[in-house]
Amino acid sequence: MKIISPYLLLLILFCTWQNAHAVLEIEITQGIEGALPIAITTFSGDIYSEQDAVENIVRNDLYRSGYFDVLSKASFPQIVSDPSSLNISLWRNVGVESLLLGKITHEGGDQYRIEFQLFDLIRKKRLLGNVIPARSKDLRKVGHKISDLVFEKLTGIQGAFSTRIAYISTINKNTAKQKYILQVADADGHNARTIFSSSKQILSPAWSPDGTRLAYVSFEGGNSEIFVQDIIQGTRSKISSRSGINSAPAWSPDSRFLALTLSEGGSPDIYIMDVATRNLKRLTSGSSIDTEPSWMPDGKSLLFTSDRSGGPQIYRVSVKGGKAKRLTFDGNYNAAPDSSPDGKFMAYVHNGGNGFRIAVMDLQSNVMRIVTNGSLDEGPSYAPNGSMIIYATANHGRGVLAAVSSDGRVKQKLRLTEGDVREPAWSPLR
Amino acid sequence: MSKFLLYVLSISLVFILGACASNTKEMPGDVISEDYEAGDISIEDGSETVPLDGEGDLSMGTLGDSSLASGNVIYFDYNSSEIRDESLPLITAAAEALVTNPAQQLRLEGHADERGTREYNLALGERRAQSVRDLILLQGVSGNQIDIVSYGEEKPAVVGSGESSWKQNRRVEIIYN
Repeated sequence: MKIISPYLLLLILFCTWQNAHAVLEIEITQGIEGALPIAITTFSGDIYSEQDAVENIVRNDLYRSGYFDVLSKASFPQIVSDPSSLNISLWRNVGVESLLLGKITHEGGDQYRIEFQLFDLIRKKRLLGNVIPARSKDLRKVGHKISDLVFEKLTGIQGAFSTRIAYISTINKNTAKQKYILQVADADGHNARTIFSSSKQILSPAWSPDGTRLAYVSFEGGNSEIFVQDIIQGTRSKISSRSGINSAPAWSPDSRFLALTLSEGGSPDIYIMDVATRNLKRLTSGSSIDTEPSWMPDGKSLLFTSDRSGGPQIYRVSVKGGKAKRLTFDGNYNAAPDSSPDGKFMAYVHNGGNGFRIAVMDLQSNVMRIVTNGSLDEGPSYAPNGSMIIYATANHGRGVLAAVSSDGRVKQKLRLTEGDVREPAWSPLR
Repeated sequence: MSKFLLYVLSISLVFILGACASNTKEMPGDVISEDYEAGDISIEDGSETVPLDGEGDLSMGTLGDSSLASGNVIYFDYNSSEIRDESLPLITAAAEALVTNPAQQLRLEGHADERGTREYNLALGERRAQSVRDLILLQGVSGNQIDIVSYGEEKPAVVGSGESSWKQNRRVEIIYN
C-alpha cells in the first residue's frame, strides 16, 4: 500500500482537478468575470412559476448572455416590491449595481399588466419604467422583451433575446424510423416548433430578413432541392430542382434575391435567383467547387467558399460578378462564412491542423482569431445584434448547439438537447 | 486468366450486384418514394418531439445500406476525388455492364466523411461521383445511362468519429437500377 498510495493520491488529485476544471470551465466560459452585477427581484402576481415565471426568464436571459452577474435569490438582502421600500445601501452591500423591480397585475379575463423599473443604484437613478399589457400565453415574450430593454440600457448593445433559432434535428438516428426535423425555437431554447419533417435529409436553413420565411435544402425527392416555406402560413414552394446540386440558399438583405449553389453547369457555382421571377444570374464559373454564399449586409457583395486554389478558402465577389478576392490564407480549410450584421467581421469554419473550429476575421485588418476549441465545430451563424455566434459542435458523438461571443470571451451551451441537433440559423430581429 | 473467364466473371458480378441493388431498395434510408405529403408540414405550437431510444454515447454501428460495401463501393482519400488504383477493376466492371446492356441504368451516389462543412461536402460528394462517371464514360458508355446524386456527409455508411469510420464514409456507391 505504501507504494501504491502516492500514485492513488495523484490519481485522485488528477481526477478531482479534472472535475473541478470541467466545472470551472463552464463558469468561466459563461463570461461571468467582469460582468455587470444585477438583481432581478421577485415579480409579484405572476401566474407561472419556475422556468416560466417572467422574472426567471429575464434572469436566465441576462445570465446566459455572459454580460451579467445575476444575484441569486438566496442572497437578496430585502424583499422589495416598489421603489418606496427599496433600501439602496442594503443592495450595494451585496455588490449589486443595477436592480430590476417588477410586478404583474391581473386585469380581468386573460389580460395582464406587467410593470417594470430598472434602477442604477450607484447613480441612484431610474433607467427604465415601462408597462406592457399581455395575455397569459405571451408572458414569455414579455420576459424576453424586458431582457432586451435591460440589456440595451446597460450594455449599449441591442438585445436579441426575442429572436429565434432555426435548426435541423435528427431523431431515432440510425434506425428505420430516423427522421429529420426543421425546427424553430426561441433563442433561449424554449418553445420549439416543428416547421417541416421528413424521412429524408434536410440541410441549410436560411431566414428571410423579415423573419417570415425559411429557405432550406430537402432530399425528399431523392436529390437536393431548394424550398422556401412561409413559417406563418405554412405554405411552401420548390424554387430550385435542377440536375446536380441545388443547395446553400442565402437571402439578400432586401429579401428579393436568393444566392444559391447549382452544379448543373458541371461543377458547383454561385448563382443569384430573383425570388419573384425565378430568373437566375450566374456569379462564378470554372471547374472548382464554389459554394456557401453569404451576403454582406450592404447587399453589394457575397462571401463564399471555393477550392480554386486547391483546398477550401473564403473569397468575396461583387454581386455584379467579376474577379473574386481571396480573404483567408491561414490554415488548409476555411469555409462557410457568415458576415456580422455590421459587415465588419466574418465568422467561418477554420482548420489550421487542430480540428475544425470557428474563427472570426476582422474584414478590415484581416486579423483572424479562433474562438472555439472543438474538433468538429461548424455552421456559424451570427446573432442579429452581432453579440454572439451560434454554431454546431459534437459532444460525445452527439450534435449539440453552442454559442460564443465574437471576442471568444463568452461561451454558452444551448438547451436544445433532444436528438442530434445541427445547422443552426439565428433569426433576424423582429 | 483468360479474357473469356474475365468476361464471364464480370457478367456474373453484374448479376450479383443487381441482386444487391434490388435488396438495397427495400432498405430504410435509401428508398426514393413520395412519402412526403403536404400534411408533413406543421406549424403547431407544441413541438413534435419523439423520445429517443437511448441517450447515451453513440456506439459503433452500421447503417442498413452498408451491405453494399461488399463490392460496389469506391473509397477516397480525405478531401480528394482521385480514384485509387485499387478501384479501377470495379469501375471497369461497371463500364462493361453498361456497354453490354445499353438499357442498364446506374446511379452513382457520392458521399463524404463528417469533417468539414456540410455544403462543401455535398459538393465534394458530387465531385467524387463525377470522377467515377468520367472514368466509366472513357470506356465507351453512353452518358445517359449514368445518374449522379450527392448526399455529402448526410448518409454515412458507418457512424462514429475517427479514421476507421471516416475512411468508409468517403465513398461512391454504384447502384444498378
